[in-house]
This record gives sequence, structure tokens and C-alpha cells, in this order.
Amino acid sequence: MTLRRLIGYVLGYVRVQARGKNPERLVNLCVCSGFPVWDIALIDDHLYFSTTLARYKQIRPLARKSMCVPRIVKRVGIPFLIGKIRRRPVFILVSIILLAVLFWLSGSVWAISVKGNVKVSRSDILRVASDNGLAIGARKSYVSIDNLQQAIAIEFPGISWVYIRFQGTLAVIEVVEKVRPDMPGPGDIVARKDGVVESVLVLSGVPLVQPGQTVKKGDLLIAGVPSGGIQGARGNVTAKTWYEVVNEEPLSRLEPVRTGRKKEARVIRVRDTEFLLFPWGTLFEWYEIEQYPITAFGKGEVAFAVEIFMRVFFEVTWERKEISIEEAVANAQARGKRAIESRLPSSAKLIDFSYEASGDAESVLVRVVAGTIEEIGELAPWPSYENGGW
Amino acid sequence: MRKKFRMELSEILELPMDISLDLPRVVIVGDLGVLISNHRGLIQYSPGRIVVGVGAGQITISGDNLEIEEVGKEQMAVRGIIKYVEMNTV
Repeated sequence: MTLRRLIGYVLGYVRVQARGKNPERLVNLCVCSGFPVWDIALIDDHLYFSTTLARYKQIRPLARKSMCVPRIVKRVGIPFLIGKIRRRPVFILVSIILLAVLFWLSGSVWAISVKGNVKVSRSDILRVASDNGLAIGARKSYVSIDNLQQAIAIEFPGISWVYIRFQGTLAVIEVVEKVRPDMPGPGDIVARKDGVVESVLVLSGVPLVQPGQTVKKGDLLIAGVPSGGIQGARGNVTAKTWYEVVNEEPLSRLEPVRTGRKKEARVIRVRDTEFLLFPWGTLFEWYEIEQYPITAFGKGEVAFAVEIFMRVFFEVTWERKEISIEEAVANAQARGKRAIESRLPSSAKLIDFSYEASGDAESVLVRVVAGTIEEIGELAPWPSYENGGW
Repeated sequence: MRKKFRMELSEILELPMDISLDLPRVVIVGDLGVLISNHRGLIQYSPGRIVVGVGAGQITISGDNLEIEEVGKEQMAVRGIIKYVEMNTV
């Protein structure tokens, strides 16, 4: 809609039908007289054009001059709309009443939604809301959101945050419940393994051990104070602990030795399935295998889908090989160290290793002991707080 | 003689010819519409043909479903399917 039409709609315009010998002359006279004229169209040999309501009242002399008969066929715009409305007072009255009722009803609460509650029941929240003025049918303007939020937060200690808002006639109560961390209840700190105490750090409670003292698994290290609240023991106790492994290493072992006899076979592999192409006679009782690729077929995703390679079987016999005591001890020590390192908890700090070797004519026995420093205290909750007392 | 003088004057002063010589200016928007500035009135109108008077003759617009969108003292906007725009000087 152009600006002229918009102004025309506000001020009111008329669609004029011009009948006569020369309606174009009427249009030209209108234009010359300063009439705004638009939307000129010829329908059924009659010329139609639009002009403003105010100007149309001055069209009669121009029509006489051009020997045309103008006739209004359509009235458009707000002035005509007002005229129509004025002729229907009851309609207007009912509309106004309806709008007023709608406006009044939209100021009330017609539904309440509760979100975010899991442990606290919806009915309990609605009961507190109702006690504080928020119920279905209540006027929104009479509901004090701040007071209601406070009341819900005070009434339910399990709720940490409340937010109330209105979406039209819907009242939304959003709550966030408290999530308690899964912590063991208060208690004493006891030793979870044997060791010699290195340091004691007490955050709360009474220390019962000192550095240099030997403790056994289950010994009380820091005692909590049950009186005057639920002040459990908290602190760190580090101690020197030991890890032990005993390994036996034989002084001789069987090793395969190739005899020099061998057999060759071509193998074709399709995907994961192998086919032995030329197996000559029976294979050896004991053998070692070496294989060499010959050809591969396929490209891209199906690369090596089909492969041909040579597999060589070497006959072997088992011969006993003597191992020196030093080598056997070294092997047993290395194996023991690896075993201990794999068992150590991540909190333990390795300090040293010590070894003890003994043996007979057939094998050596090596005892590997690793000294570590680690935290040995663990919380033993008091029986009445085992399910968490925080 | 007078026209020739005005043409020379507008060339010297580098003035637009249509203003100095009071000529119509016609803008054709594809085949959708025609905008005529400096017209002298509507002479004939039918959906297939519109004749508009200009200072030195007539401009004839031929086409289909032609309508005069707006007409003022200076400008006239025609819309519809434009086929020909012809200038007839007298």
C-alpha cells in the first residue's frame, strides 16, 4: 500500500464510476484541479477511479464540464467505518462489554503449573501457594510473588530455589530441589593397612598416633568428637608401607632349536579365511613358522581382500638350557619389580626396593620388597551416622 | 528558432534537455509498467491502449490489462503488460 493509499484509508476515499462520452476528460479536470486520482481502470465500458472523500464533494462542476455522470460505487476508509459503527450501538456496547470481560478474566489465574519438583509433592506446593494467595481464580495483581517465593522456600527446606512467573493466565512455579552430596557420615579415621606413621595432619578430631609409631590395619588414628554436634574426625595420616612379591625362577629351561628341516606352503587368504594351497606331506611334530607376502589384490576399501603368501615351517627340537644363578636372580627381581609396580595404588609413592635370594639346585627364590609412602587413613563412620549424617 | 536557442543554451550550461526544453521523460520498467513525467493529460484510455498527451505530441502505450496506477499533475504511472511505447510528435 502506497503512502497515498494509506492516507486515503485514514481520511476515507471513494471509488468513482464515471459514465459519459469522455470520462478521460473528467480525469484530466480532476488532476488539474488538484484531486489525487489513482487506480484508473476501464471495466464494462465504464471508467473507474479512486479519489479522496473530501475532494469528491467538489467533483460535480467538473462532471458537468466534462458531461460525465460520476457515481460512488465503493466507500473505503476509517470515516466510513466509524459511520457504520455508529449505526449499530448495541453491537458496539456488546463488543466493549466483551472486551472488558476478556480483559478482566485475563487478569486472573486459570491454571497453575509446578516444574522441577521430584521429592516435594505438587499438592504440598499448591497448598502453600494457595495459603499465600495463588490459587485458581485469584487475581494476578493481588499475588505477591516475592512473598510467595519466600513462603515456599521456608516451608520446604528441601527446595533451594523458587521462581514464580505468569504466562498469560498460567502461573508457573519453578523449583530446584537441594541435591546432597553422597558423603559418608562423621566418624573416626582408622588405618586401612599396616605401616609406620610418617606424618599426621589433623583438620578436626584428636590424633592418637605420632610419627614413627607402628600401626596395624584397623587401628584408630584420629578420633572424632561426638559431643557438641557431629564433629567427625578429618585429616591425613601418611605412613611407610611395604609391598612384597616372591618369585621362583628355574635354573634351566627348555628352548626350541631348529634342526634344519623345513617345509614350504603357499597360503591364500580371502578376507579372514585361509586356504593352504600346497601342503606337502605331514607337518613336523614341533615347528616354528615364518611367512612372506607374495601378492595382494584389491585397492582402497577392499585392499588386501585377497592375499597370497608363503609360509615356511621349520622343524624344531627342545633342548634344555642351563641358566646361571645370577641371570635367574636378575630375571626374578625384574619380574617382581614389575609385579609390584602394577599393584601399587596411584597415591603411593615408591621409595626403595630390597631383595632377598635363596634357592636350591633347580631354582632360585627371590623375595622383592618395595617400601612406599602413602595415605593410610580412612573414615570409619559412627554406627548411628552410617547412612550419612551431613 | 527558439527551440534551437534553448537547446544550445542547455548544452552550454550542461542542463538536462527535458527540463530546459519542457520534454516528457518516459521510464519503462521491463514490461511491467511505464512512468511518464511532464505529461499533459490523458487522451484515451482502454485496457489495451493508453494515449497520453505530452508537450510535443502524444505517447501511445499498447499492451494488455493496462491500468493507470496513479495520475498527478506532473506524473502518470501505468501498470500492466507493456508491449509497445510509441512517441508521436506533431
